[in-house]
Amino acid sequence: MEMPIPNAEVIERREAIAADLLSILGPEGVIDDKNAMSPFESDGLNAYRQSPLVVALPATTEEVSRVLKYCQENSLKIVPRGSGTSLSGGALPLADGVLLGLSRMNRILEIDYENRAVVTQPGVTNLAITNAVEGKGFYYAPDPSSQIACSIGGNVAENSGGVHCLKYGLTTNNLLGLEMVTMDGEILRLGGKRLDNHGYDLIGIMTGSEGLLGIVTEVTVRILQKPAIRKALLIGFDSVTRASQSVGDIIAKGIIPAGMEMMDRPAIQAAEDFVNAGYPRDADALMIVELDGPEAEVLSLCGRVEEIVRGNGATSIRISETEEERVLFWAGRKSAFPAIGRISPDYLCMDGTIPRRQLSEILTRMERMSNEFGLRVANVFHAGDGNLHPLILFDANNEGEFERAEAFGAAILKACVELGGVLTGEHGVGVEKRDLMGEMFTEVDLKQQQRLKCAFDPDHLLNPGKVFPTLHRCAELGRLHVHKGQMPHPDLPRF
Amino acid sequence: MMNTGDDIIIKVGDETELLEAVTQSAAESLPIEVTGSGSRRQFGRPVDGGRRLDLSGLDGITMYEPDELVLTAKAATPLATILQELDKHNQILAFDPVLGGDSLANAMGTIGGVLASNLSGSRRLTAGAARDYLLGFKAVSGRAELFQSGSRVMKNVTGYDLSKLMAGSWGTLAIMHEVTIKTMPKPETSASLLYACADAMEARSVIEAAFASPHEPSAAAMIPASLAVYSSHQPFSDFARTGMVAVIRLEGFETSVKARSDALYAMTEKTPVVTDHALSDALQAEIRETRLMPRQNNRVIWKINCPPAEGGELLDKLIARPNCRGYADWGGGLIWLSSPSGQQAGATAIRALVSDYGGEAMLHEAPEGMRRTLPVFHPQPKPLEALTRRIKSSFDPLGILNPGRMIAGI
Repeated sequence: MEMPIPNAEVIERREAIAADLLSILGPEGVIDDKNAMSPFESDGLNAYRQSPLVVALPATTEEVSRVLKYCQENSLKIVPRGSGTSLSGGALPLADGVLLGLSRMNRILEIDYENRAVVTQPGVTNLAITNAVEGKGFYYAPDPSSQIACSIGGNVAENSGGVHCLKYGLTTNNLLGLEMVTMDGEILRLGGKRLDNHGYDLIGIMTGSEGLLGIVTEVTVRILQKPAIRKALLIGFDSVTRASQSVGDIIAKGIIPAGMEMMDRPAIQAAEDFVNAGYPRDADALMIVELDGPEAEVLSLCGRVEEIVRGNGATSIRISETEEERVLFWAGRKSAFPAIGRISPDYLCMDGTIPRRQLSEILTRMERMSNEFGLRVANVFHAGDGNLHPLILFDANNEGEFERAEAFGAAILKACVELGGVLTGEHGVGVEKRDLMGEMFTEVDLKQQQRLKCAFDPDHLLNPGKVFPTLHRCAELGRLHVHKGQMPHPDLPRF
Repeated sequence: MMNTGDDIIIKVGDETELLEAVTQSAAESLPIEVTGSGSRRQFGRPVDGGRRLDLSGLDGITMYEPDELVLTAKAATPLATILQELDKHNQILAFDPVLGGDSLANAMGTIGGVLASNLSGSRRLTAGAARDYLLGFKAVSGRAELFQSGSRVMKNVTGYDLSKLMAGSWGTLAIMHEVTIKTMPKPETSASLLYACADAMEARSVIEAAFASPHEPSAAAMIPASLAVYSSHQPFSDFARTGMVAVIRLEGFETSVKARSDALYAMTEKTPVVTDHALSDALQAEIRETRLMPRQNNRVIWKINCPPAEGGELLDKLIARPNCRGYADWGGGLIWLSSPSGQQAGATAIRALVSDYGGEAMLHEAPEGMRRTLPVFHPQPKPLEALTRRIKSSFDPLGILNPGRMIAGI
């Protein structure tokens, strides 16, 4: 993985820079001791590590603004970090960059039940928002599996999802307002507690921008009333095709389940060995369908779903009788990653999305690739929205196996794009998928995205080396050659 | 239309012709006014000069897979075509687009126009806005380059989410020629509960109680009796003697709507009138389409977004202004206000009041001259406007696409 070449001159000035930051943030806001900085060397994608130049931990929006202004004036790069749970290396430090951690901005500022809004600082964890409002029967819908640790600011940066996206959307569909600081230190307030906003949708463009456009210093999220009841169905099939058909049939009947998950045989067995959730070990595919809402509706839909899957030859069907049982049905799925961790020294978790009807095709291709690369793969996926999480099993102690696993992963993602899908459904591009962006986008597409970045950060100081495979200078991107009646880029294929 | 001078219209039939037209305009630095059916020319700020680029030839659904909840169409496909096709498969656009007509077949405008103006109907409160349903698009930028973003899958974080930026940008950044949207199942049935209330404050508390229950309303409105009398449907017009009607809408499966309707009925001391499906839809259409608001020559209509819980108090204050009438949708989060057009339509005072409640006011329906001289959208703080200019310039450095459509000079 190539990162921008560190600026030796900046590294030389490290002590002076730390001293300047100390004068802005005080002793609690700066870490420059090499050992003390080691927890910041990587995020959830821990195959890559790098010690940052210095760690800055601002406690207020004004401090964020002053740090950014200072960095802009001194041409210093910034890598933003929430809780460091990114699975794509979004918070991987740069040797010549200031790591800007938002963990000290960890207070919920306001709970407004009547407007269904919570105003919070970016360092608050996703789950803490739900914890703060569940006493009154509310919750925050997006639930990435790292929700106990991941921060809401990081959720905004990555547009995090979870298992309930089909019905409740991703982070972007659950935000009302943001406060952000641009690289020049300007503080902007976007949206608020109203539903729609005039002007360009800057909240929409900030969400999922992976820390390349600005630093989010305050988030207003929408909270929802908890559904009256939730029930889960645990359904076994003797073929992935039949399971996949059932997913389409349920939606075609007008039913939008709160969650619809699927696991393949290796994942079922690993999960069952780990938590004994009562999964059918002999099934080739397992579906969990969760229905939530008013009691009368959920009970009637359970019946409809049962009828549909029976018609598609389900080999086993269980409907949760109690809340404990529902949680148990999920326990296997939710611990799929550690369960795989028990049967393999290492694994890579991929994150492509495909049009759902291509599910059998992608699994067939994965099986073939598994033989080619000589590595096992287990699959868990958000079947409702076609988001796959293939887990590639490998042993880093074996020479060359990590590289082989990475190549296998890249091959899977290329196949996702070929089948009409995308490189990443919820984990982000970061450094992990950066060099694959050309599979999905043309040079023109990528340059247009980078021009947008130039509107926010003309010197490429915010999180450089992430998302885009090639860094173009903004002056170069802005150039426009139009001659009368001629294409601006006659050399590029037009269609 | 004013200021068009020779009023040149260029009609394009596919993306090649579109690209050529934009290339030509870029070469000559000539502004373009982009239109589909032209239905949205009566809204927003009028474009400053320029030839008109007519996209109406970009028409047709190119992909629709109901069981994947996804549809791709050329940008100027009539909204009516799309809604009728969805209806055949028992599906809808969940953000409840304003039809501008009395049936799906008579819906006005194009899908591109609906998305570019990010205009959503009554279900916006619970189902999201038009912007939440745009999954991907193909477009030509003001640099005369074809580019795309997003895809056909619902879960996608690959690169910046430019779809969000395109929605609500009124064609000022790029010209979309193909859009991919998320569709949703059509609710089996609906019912509306109508409550007689003294004023908007009380109506808002009825709505709040319904939303604080587990009975999942999908929409809610507050209608002053003086406007309810304009309804063509009797249960509504019967409320003439009360101050304000709170309307709570339930949608979904038959068994569910029945159970929730019974539960809500039993929940309050107030006894609501409960409508059947047909009437519920008819009333909802009147609310969504602003048909309860009489149109008069010397009046303008404001579209005001505010935090839903402030909607009751704000509505009471707005309609207490001289000669102002209005009602609220989105549970209080959207206020439609009719005000006299004299004295700059009261813009300064109305916007100041709305700002105090955390809202924004759009001059929605007004004579063209007024939409040119008064800011149509709520004025932005300076740093935000500067960023808006830089974003515009990153897509359209020559300023040729719909110049001035949102903000004068941008």
